[in-house]
Amino acid sequence: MTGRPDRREVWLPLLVLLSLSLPVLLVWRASELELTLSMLSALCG
Amino acid sequence: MTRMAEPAADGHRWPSGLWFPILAGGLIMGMALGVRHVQGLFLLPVSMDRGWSRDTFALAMAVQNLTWGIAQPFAGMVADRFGSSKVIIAGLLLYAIGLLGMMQATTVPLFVMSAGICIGIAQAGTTFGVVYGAINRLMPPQRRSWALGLASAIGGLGQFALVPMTQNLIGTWGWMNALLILAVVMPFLLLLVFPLRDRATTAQPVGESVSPMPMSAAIAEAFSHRGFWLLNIGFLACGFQLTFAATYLPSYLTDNGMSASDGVTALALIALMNVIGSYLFGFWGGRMSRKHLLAAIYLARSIAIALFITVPLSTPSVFVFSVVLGFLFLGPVPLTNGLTAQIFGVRYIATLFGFLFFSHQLGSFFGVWAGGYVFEATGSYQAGWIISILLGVLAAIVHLPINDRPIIRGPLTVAAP
Repeated sequence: MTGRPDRREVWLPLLVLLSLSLPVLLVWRASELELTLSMLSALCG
Repeated sequence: MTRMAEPAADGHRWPSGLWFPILAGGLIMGMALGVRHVQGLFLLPVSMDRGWSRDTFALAMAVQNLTWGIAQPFAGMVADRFGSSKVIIAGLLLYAIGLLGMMQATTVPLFVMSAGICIGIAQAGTTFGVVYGAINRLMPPQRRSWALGLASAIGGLGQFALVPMTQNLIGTWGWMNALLILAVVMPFLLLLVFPLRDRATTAQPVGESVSPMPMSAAIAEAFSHRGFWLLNIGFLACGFQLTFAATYLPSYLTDNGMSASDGVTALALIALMNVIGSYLFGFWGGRMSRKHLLAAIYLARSIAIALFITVPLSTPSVFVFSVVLGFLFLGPVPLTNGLTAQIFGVRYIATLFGFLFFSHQLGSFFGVWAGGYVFEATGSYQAGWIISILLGVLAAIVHLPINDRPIIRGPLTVAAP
């Protein structure tokens, strides 16, 4: 971890993040109307 | 004054351990932003059990947003003065207290105090400004932007995952126990604070100026820099665009004949793509001009919104828009933070970003307010979308003339080899 991140350091976290995101996406998809209420607290900072 | 950490220029002092602050910062932000994000799920059960109107809950959330914005510069000042980890510890404990207060509050003032003010202040201590401050100071300059992007992406994943988890908790255990469980989790995150302690070292980052100036002088310097004002304008527009879209997209879709399921999928796609976009924009910020990336994001958002409201609404158009919006969603946060650090250095980054974040929250407030106002006045959200487009174009334009060269503060600058 000295200079700029190398190729492996760039792609590995992205792949891990994606692999963790997909199951969550499926759970989201299974939920319905109640989830829209979560938007009342607004997504962003 | 406490000597703040500056990482060794060559990063050899603590090599592989640099992953830990990124992971710790991301997880803390994921929990802090995630718990905030799911508060809408408590709207119905809390309102029904307490016999309050939905306005009461909305009032508490509005107060929370504003409190977060107002508290952020002060949280940043304390972090820059005494170290980020102390502020994060206080923020996590305050978060737990606020959640317990939400659970116990039986009157409106108590609910607003706990859900609005207490959690608002807690968010200022546990999210972008303070956590980014620590990561900025702990990372070698060549890796800062990438690290900020990765921490943001982990935070975005936490936000994304906490929604179905909390929904499940409420469904299984009831809303009060769900709040209790979330409150109990917060102190466990204290363990993650250790890697975020700003470390004192005699080494200075190569090519960066060392800021011997007091905080007040650093703030005055920033406000006398035209670029700082332009960043504020851009971030205000960012807050408006995001909050307007996030808050009113589901209503816009159902008003135009789309199903609730489409709305839910749209939100999920935004959340998923936000994870990817935050990471990639952080990474690109270390290789390309941050101000140009920011201008591109704001312009792309405006184009996406313009196409979205022009093209006939359909399931594919909604999903494509959600993917694009999600990809561009929180990319400006690590880029704006990185650009501020690039110009002014990392010594007072939490303070300066705190001021920028106040502008963002001001924009968020107007985004929510304007959406409701234009809908009442015109019966549609069209005017709100058009304001979003115009603000995006304005934000893109104002980033171009920013002088992003680091401020050189005389002889204390460490020259690059």
